Amino acid sequence: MKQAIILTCLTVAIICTGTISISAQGNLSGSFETNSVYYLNDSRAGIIAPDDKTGSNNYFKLDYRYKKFSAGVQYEAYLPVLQGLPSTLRNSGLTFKYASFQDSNFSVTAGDFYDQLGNGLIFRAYEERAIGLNTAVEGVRLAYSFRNLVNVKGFAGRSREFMDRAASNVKGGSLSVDIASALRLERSTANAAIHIINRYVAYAGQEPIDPNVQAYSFTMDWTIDAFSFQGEYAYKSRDNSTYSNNRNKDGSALLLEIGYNTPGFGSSLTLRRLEYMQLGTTRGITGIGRDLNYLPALTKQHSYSLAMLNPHNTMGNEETGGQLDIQYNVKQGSLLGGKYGIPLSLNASTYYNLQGDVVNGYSFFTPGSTKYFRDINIEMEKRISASVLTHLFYANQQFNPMVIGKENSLYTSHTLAGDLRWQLKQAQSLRFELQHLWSKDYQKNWAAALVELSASPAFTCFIGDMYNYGDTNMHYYKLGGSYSFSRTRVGLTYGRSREGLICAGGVCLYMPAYTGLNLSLTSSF
Amino acid sequence: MKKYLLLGLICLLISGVSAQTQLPAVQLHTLKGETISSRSLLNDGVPVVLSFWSTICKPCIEELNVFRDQWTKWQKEVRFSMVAVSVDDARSVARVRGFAAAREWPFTVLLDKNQDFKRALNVNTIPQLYIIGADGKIVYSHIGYTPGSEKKVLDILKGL
Repeated sequence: MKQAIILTCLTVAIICTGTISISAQGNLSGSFETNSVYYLNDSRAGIIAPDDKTGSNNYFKLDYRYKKFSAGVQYEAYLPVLQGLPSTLRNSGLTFKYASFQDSNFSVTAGDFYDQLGNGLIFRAYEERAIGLNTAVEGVRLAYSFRNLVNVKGFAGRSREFMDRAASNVKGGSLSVDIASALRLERSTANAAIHIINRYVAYAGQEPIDPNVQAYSFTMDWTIDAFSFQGEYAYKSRDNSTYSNNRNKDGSALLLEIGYNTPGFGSSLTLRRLEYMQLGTTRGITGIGRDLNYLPALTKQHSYSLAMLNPHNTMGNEETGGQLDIQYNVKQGSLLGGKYGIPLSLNASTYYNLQGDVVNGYSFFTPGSTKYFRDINIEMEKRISASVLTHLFYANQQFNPMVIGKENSLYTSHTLAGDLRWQLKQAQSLRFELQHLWSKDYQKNWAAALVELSASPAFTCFIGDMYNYGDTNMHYYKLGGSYSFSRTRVGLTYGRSREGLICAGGVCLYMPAYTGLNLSLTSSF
Repeated sequence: MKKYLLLGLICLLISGVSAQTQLPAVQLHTLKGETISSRSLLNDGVPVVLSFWSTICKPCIEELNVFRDQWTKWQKEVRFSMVAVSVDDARSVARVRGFAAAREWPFTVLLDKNQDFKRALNVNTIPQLYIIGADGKIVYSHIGYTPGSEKKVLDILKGL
């Protein structure tokens, strides 16, 4: 299979090459990214550097396009993988290769591809390099669009699992209909779709385990004037697996989203209920790089570091809750808005376990008694003058360490943060940031500060510190800079990083503390 | 087998290819839920400023706010359209509509929910901004935003 796919890629590439030399130029694009750390011993923080002192994640990607054909590869080298990321990412190799043909209403891809069905409740194949995640599927995918009214796609293949392939086969597809266009509704847009995924894992044992797991979902979205509605219901067949605690139980999920948006005001309310909806690439454990579907924490991702000390981690087996997000712009020229106006942002989210239990069944939406997470936060932006811009932020959070496998308790915190950017000249600016977190739980109080100097359009340098003075009396200092030129950016940072969850794209990974020098370089062409 | 693949790549390189100068064709979604092709962004026949952003990227939002604040003035100086491509995925895409509405961005906002367009243009870091000429060729790009860097964008647009 693998050889066949590579051969297909090569064939298309060579056909394209031949054509170029005869008639026209193709288009070659690509990118290079390296993220490397030189680790240091740090006796104050109890950090011991690994024996070879280094970690280096490297990605080189090439895409070639010629008219309706395209082909490409991605080469990855872990020399070795950065500490904290899955150690199964090792050595190097061509991890992604594809060839595809795309017409106005038809496309076919052979090789590796990324895709998502609906909101990802039953399937998402994607890449998130920051946490070493890549679940691309190697196989074949076909898509056809009938007058842009009916779209159908199907695929089959094997999911990537680190540097190898998962021991499973995946088949999936979807059918979507543009209802508003079909009914010629002028004020509305409306779409409906059904999605299906099948995962096959061979089983020859004596337990009553079905080698096939099916998941289905139905999505619907509707927008009329300022209102928008989106919903997805998903069902998963019985799945006897490690991540479902070996209970041969089916699962379901519901996602509802309602929005009302007019100029100067935006709002959305999202509700989600999950019951045994984890779906791994195999029946083993799930986690980074081993999930077939995507169940992100539906909470606000903050830009202030102290508000992200304890982010929520979705409990895919039983969770219910929601998020309310309101954006409002106090008009400029009004009494409160002043000369420049004031953008305000209010966000609240909370998640609980589902009432009931696995033996007697769960309620559909009613929360149980265990609170997993709560975050109520408000942020405002105020321009003082043409050259001074400020932000003010407050968050009240409750985090249950149960979501990362620790005891059931609640850490409550209050975080106040703000920053001020002062534009010194047309091309130079200074930014000051101050944060404080009050808590009586876990590591108690924290403070943080940062100063950043930018010289437009290319250069930035900063120095900052996060200080825990409630428990460990540890400083997490950072000093660094970056230089950007066209499509290239190079950054160098020295400092101490705390252990904890890092989250990228809604998926979180527990990272160990380290002290060291970090070089990052990204370039595309 | 890998050596054959590498051989194929070398064949491509020596055959005379150009670096990425054209927009790849990828499906994107409007805030109303319609599906459009990235190629249709060029339909207006004027230069396009393309900016990749997300609701969790503060410099991205600062850059887009600067374009909003200067929009009327700059449109009098040079004709161009602007498209802000949100790479928010299922975690935060619900916030995008409200974000754009509250900030009253006068330009088009599109959704790239599984980052297909981002990947096709080899964008690894956001914000990343492109200027695409009326002929569809990419004429400029930069990574990151620092206050004042929008001036260079305006200068390039005036030179097209």
